[in-house]
Amino acid sequence: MKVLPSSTALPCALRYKMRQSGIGIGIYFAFFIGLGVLAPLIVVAALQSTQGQGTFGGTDVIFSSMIFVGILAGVSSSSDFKFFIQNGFSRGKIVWISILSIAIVSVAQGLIITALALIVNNVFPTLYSVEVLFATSYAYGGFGVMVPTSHFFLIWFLSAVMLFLASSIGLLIGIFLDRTGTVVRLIVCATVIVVVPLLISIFQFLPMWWKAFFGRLVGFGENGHMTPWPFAATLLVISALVCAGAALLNRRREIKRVNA
Amino acid sequence: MTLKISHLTKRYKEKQALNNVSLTFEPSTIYALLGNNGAGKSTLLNIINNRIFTTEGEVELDGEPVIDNSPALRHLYLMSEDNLFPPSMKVSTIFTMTEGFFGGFDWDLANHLINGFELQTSLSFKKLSTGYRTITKLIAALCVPANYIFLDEPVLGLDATHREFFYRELIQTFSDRPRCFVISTHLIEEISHLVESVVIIDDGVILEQGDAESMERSAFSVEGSPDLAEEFTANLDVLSSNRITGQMTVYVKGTVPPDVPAGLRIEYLGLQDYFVRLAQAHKFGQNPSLRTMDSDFTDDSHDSHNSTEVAR
Repeated sequence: MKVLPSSTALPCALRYKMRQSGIGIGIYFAFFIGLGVLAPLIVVAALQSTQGQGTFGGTDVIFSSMIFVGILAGVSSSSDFKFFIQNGFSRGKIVWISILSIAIVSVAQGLIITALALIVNNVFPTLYSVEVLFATSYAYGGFGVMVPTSHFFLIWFLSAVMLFLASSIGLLIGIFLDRTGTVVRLIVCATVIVVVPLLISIFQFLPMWWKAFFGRLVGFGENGHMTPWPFAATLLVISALVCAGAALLNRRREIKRVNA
Repeated sequence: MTLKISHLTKRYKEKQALNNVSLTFEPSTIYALLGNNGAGKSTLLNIINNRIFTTEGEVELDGEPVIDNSPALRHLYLMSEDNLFPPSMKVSTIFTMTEGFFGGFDWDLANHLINGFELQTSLSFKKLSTGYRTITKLIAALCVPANYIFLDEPVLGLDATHREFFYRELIQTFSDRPRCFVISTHLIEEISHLVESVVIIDDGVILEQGDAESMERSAFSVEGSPDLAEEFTANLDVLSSNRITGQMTVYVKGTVPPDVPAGLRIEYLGLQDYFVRLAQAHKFGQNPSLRTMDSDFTDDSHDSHNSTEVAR
């Protein structure tokens, strides 16, 4: 038996990650389609048959998906690290595998939610809608449109970008929790709780040109027009910064003993 | 392929776990890494295998740094009491994944061990008992194509039958495919006949390193009346001594002098006894008065079946 070059281990590691994520995504969509789409759809259809055409239902799919992929990335971070270290991976490779796998998961999940939204919205236009918040608004150019029925690729792309941001934040939190003890976690949590409202307060008092600048960064134009590319670029830059933070935190990560 | 450890130091806030450790592990050799609890054995193995970082020092495989270097790390494999496999992963998947990561797996040996240990590979890792978790990790370690296999407490939770089976199979796989094994265990007697070389570590420093056979013959005990024993060992390198109800046993490092007076009984120490006495001597090194232990009880630590009576 001969040890093969380390590059052959990467496809195997990615297959492992995809299988693990695939199971998670499968469970999520089984619940979402069952409880978030089919069950309310049946209820709305039953109500329409008794009360007439006025009844209409709907749900958003992007925020629950973002929370889910964030948790998935965070929760699997610790067990992946242990498993890959056991099998001879460097920390650099481990973080690349994590980033690559959350990117693939984001694209796949973005595809599924976009397809799901377009199918439901085109098949049951008078009964039920699946919204893809923000992605739809940016795709159609304004907050007025929430229910997508077209612009498949743009909504897919924007969904994937939003999911990637959520996953990278989940990954960063997962590594942070794995590396730190209770006291540090509490200090950082307290800092975030204090700083976020402070930043929001400061933002309110900023001069108009600053507000306009931040607005343009996320694609808000004049007259309420929303352009998708600055929004996507900003989210991708933030995601890249978060991933860089995750890679930095991962550089000196160690296995915690015993039966870590 | 040689694994060289140079000036390894690991400091924690409260403790220095390793202090300037330098070692070389040669290929195709079975090593025993011996040390008391907290001596630094697991810390050393965890650093070599990239699980934790060293404070100072280098680990090199044929001159290439090992720490966080994937190509070098694929020649090393550590099986330890830490459970690093995903708990919900099936045992069979653990083996196929290990094959995928290392690019090879000795399935003939794996199937032989699975049958020998009666391991249920359809179960998930978390559903196994402590013993069978150890067995799963052992099978992975013995079947990967790595050149350096580190076994940290390899028989944890194994019953006597399984331990004997493991030792037999270890010898067999070593003769079939020689590679370097480093075995860290507290069950010294059980592995003493397997190992070729021994490293003794205590308080983070290497006390001794050498081949097992000569180490077993490098110390002896002198038993007799206190006056006679003390006089005979006065100019020898005494490790420690015991006084038990009018009798004295002195443990001495070195070869047995030719002229042993009548009334003294001389025996070579086995590996375990030698390790115990050496560690004791190191522990009490800064306070020589503690080297002599007065007791009214029988000294159980001296296991006579390991000792060889020498000619007077």
